[in-house]
Amino acid sequence: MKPFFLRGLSPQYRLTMAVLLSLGLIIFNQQLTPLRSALATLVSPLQYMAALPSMLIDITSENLSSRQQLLEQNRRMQQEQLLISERLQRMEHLEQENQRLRSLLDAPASLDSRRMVAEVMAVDQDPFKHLVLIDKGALQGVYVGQPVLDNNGVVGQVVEVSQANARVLLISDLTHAVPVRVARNDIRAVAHGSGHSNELELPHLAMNVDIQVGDLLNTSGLGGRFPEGYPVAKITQVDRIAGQAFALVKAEPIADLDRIRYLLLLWNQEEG
Amino acid sequence: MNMDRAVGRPVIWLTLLAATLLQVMPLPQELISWRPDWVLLLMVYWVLVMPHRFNILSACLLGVLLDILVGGTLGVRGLAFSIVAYVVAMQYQKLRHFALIHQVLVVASLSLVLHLTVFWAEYLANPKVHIDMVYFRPVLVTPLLWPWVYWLLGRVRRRFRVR
Repeated sequence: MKPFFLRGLSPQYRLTMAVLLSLGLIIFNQQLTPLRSALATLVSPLQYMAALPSMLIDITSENLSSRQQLLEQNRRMQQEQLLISERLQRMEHLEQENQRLRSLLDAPASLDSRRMVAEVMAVDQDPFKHLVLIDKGALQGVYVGQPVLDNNGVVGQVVEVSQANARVLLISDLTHAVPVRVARNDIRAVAHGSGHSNELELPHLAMNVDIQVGDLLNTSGLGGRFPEGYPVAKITQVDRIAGQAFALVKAEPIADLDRIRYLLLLWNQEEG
Repeated sequence: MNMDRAVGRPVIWLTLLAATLLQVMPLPQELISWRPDWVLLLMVYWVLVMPHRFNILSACLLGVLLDILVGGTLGVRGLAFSIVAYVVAMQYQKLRHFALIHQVLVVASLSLVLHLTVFWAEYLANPKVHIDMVYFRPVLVTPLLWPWVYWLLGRVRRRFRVR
């Protein structure tokens, strides 16, 4: 029968132990990163099992898509490819020209780096963090701090690596900041995440700073984490409130952070 | 008796594993905020019915496992789960004899406690976090599933003779 009274340790004693354990984990979170990635490797089969149903649904819906849809998609992609290859030809020409000019200036040429496509397995549900789980990990050479892009712009950086998975912190996370430069006039700024997936904040900009709604922000390459020149966000709001020390500047990320699926991992030359 | 002891704990942990999978399963964007706290439901059930098999420390470990899976700050859910398990473990003799509708209300308040504790612990780590009503949607959904979970786990418990 079910015992009516508990024997053994008292609940208060157990609660104290559990609370001390949890608080210890919370306080030493930074120091516990190796333990965390080891545990993440241990539970990554669970992640794959959990992702299985949605993967099956995706595969089935792809198999069931009609011939008409496929033809339509094929035609659209061919057109897109034509446009992109034209731009690529122009780009190659410009790149050569750029290398020549740089060699004239004795400036180091910027080299092509290694890259890899990863797929988003799950969007983490912790509502206070903007993290996604990707299907590449230490086995593929992914490292902490690696920049991550999608086809539109900068998405974020890798913050946790296990053997077969990695977690990417999105640029909209509260703890994330990316050094940027206004494409129009090279003004430097730092774009902080706001906790909303469609908004970045640019704090500490002087009242008279020359920034307008619609300005494009590119990575500046300062800080050494993100390579230079990738689009990050577009300015959506500039308020100069009298009496405040700084202008209130907000921007919208170029990458569609709500619906990312395929991501591009970049390797810096030194680390790759 | 020895046979029963052997089969009890694995069954409990298998049901919790299933709940964990439901908890971290990718869902369409519109449904994500309505996802019920599956793990909380099962944890409350096992502490209520088997406080000698599943107690506060097991709840804490379960919370830490969930922290790793959802990518939260390590220990936040461990803390919240141990507090909820403590409340249930203190009052399990009374709660067992509550009417179902009262149990539903208790589960709703436990879910609220869980979400507030998680928010509070995250707030300690980063004071800039903010919440809105969307964050509390699971508090509305979770208790509605309690009668069904109670019935289903009762069947599982009798089928596998977990004691």
